[in-house]
Amino acid sequence: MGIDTARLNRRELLARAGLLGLGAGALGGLASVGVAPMRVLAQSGGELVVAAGGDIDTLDPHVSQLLVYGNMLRFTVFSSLVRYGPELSYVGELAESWETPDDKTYVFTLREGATYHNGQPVEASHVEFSYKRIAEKQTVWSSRVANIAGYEVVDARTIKITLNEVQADFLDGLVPLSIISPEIAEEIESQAVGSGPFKFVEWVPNDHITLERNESYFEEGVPGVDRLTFRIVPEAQVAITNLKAREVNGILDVPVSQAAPLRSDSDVSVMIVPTSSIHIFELLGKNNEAIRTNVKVRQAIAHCLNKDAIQQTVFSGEGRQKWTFVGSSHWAFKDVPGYDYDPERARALLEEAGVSNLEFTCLTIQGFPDGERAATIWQAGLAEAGIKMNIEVQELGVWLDNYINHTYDVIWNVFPGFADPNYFVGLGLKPHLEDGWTNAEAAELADSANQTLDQAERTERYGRLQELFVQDLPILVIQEAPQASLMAPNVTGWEINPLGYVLVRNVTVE
Amino acid sequence: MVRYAARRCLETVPTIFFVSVFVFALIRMAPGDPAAMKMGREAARPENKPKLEALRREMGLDKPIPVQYLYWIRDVVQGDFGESLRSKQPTLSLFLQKLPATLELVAGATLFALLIAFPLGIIAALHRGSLVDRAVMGFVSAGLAVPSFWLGLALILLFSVQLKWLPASGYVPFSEDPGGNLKRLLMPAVTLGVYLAATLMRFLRADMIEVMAADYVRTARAKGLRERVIIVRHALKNALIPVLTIAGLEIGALLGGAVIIEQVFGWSGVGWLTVQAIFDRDYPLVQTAVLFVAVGLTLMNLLVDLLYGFVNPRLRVQ
Repeated sequence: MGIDTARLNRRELLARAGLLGLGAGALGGLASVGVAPMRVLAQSGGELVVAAGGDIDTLDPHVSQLLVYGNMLRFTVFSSLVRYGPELSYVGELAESWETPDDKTYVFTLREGATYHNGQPVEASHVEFSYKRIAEKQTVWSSRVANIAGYEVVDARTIKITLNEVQADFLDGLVPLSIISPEIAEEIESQAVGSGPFKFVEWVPNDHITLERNESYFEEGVPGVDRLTFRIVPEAQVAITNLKAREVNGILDVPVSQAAPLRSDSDVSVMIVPTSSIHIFELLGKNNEAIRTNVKVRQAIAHCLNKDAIQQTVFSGEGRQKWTFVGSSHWAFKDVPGYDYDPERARALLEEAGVSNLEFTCLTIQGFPDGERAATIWQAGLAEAGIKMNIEVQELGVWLDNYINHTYDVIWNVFPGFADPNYFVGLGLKPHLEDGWTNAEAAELADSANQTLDQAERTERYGRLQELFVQDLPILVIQEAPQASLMAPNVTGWEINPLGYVLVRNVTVE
Repeated sequence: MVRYAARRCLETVPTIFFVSVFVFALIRMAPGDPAAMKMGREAARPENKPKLEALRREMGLDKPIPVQYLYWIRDVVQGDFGESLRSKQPTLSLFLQKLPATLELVAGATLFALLIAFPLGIIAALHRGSLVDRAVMGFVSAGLAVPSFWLGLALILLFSVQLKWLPASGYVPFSEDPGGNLKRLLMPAVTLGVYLAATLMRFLRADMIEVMAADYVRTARAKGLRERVIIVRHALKNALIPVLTIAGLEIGALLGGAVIIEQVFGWSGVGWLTVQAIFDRDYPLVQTAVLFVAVGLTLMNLLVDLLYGFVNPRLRVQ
């Protein structure tokens, strides 16, 4: 009964700690990704109580970097200029329309009559105020406005934004940037006032967040419920029990291996949706020379990864195996063939590389059983080829330190869903291109692919980058991870988009 | 008695001082960087490295640990316990906000434990070897062995999902909804109290068996006193002394158990708050929470000592 047995679980860690940080990848240029969000049609009314794995850290949309903040407040209470529509296209939220007179200029026209929950009208100058405030706050959001050269408020409903450089994923970067007025900003830490479909009622830390319908929201029929409560329930098993007792009528995020068996249970509805989130092993740590410097060694250990076994065990057969980082339904995805499960081939490659008695350690994160299980299966495959891998499960904070500083042999990691490949390039590849992955062509492509708006050109550059990625193996991709939500059968309109955002604006409870 | 009490009170001061040093140093020696935790994986972006440094400075983590400690103690003495690194709210108010829930949970668990441990422990001792005794000992073994996490879920499945008698989880302040508060308290208090009940029962039974065989009990019987008077006035009072110690220590241990129970039942208290703060490396919040809990436990032990002196006059003399 001691403290030692207490632990955070995967859901809570995912939701908190900003590990997954930002799901909002960028959807480049003008096209859309071909995966439709799962969605059910809805009617109006009722109250929705949703279990969330972790709490938010602050009410301030420009400061919080947590994924769970997006699910609970960013896309319910606040609005941005643009949001994702069907198939990850952009639809105007506060922006009614926008034009791009040239590749570096965006002119947004705001929706007429849009107001905040306190009655104040939304004005174009608030866009400038919000983006400048985001830049000042020095959070991860600030990099999304770093390329802005200037603002020009043309009139109360029109703002012109100019960029320093052409940036293919600019518009996508705006999706999570909430617009608030200077007056609201003064009290934002105690009163979350936005212009979204729900009004903020109260936040009791570690307990619940309550929202209610915004009667004057500009979109007809949204939101679907009169009241929306998020209850913090850290343990997935506890959340499931709560759902069965109807204490809650939905759960944001449940490990797929726990959700899939409930499909035969008539008490709950299971929603498992493919996302572009990927589980990976990063191979270019500073601690193991053989793996870091020799591509043949990396290819050898890739041949020991039994992806079929992992898909069956960890993901209940769901999700898609692949070797590259780009979302498998994205236009830039190239299905580069990888390395079959073949320990004998691995032995031969090691011999060619002149490496014998290879031994290394793989770091995984406590509370993320998916990582441990994938590593265990890999361990067995490696043993077949005479390679010894140790698995070390680390607390999130410790793991994060090693991850950031590259102090590991090999490290397991999970990336949240993202649309534009540049998200992964910046966050997943750039750190290795600066330290460990010496490939001038790849380094050049990593930059140039985001510096044109021409989709054909981008597709070609990302295609080549993916080939180099699979060939050099700085990172060994396991597969795309599906995301699961659970809800009561009388809940309709629940939506998980391909980035893994749970959207409840259309949910109704009968 | 007054001098005894005063001396025991003074002795708590160094204890609390050492706790403050230990918690301050230990949490900082643990690997993991609060700034990185706050920034998340984005800290890995090469262009974010300067932001990470800036965040560390803002959090005051760039100074040597002894200097940080002196700043902290200076503020604490003035009643300023600092702000949470994670939420920027004052740690004291975060802690005090969650304290009533935990106190209520621990009080509920203790009450439950006392209510069943006393009658059952005494009956088992008086009817040693009987069916009741064996049933009690069976409960004791089960109560000590069962993981509270499992027991909590089992209770929820039975009473909330199957029978629908009790709400599965959540905390409502007593002042807002007394009925709802007590209904929600029932399962977590029982789950948390089972271990304490089993422990107390075991000690009480053993002590009573021992005491009942003592000479003075035989003397009392020989005097022709009624059995009830013998048990209550002569036996129980003496059997109580070791039990009191155990109770004092174990009620402190309940706080550890509360960490898990609070999460299972969504009972948002200080245990949950503290564990989260540790995982977040939210230094100021961990410090405040541990310091207060340490002071609480020290006072608890002090109270037990004073009660001891009250129950057992021999101790006051030394």
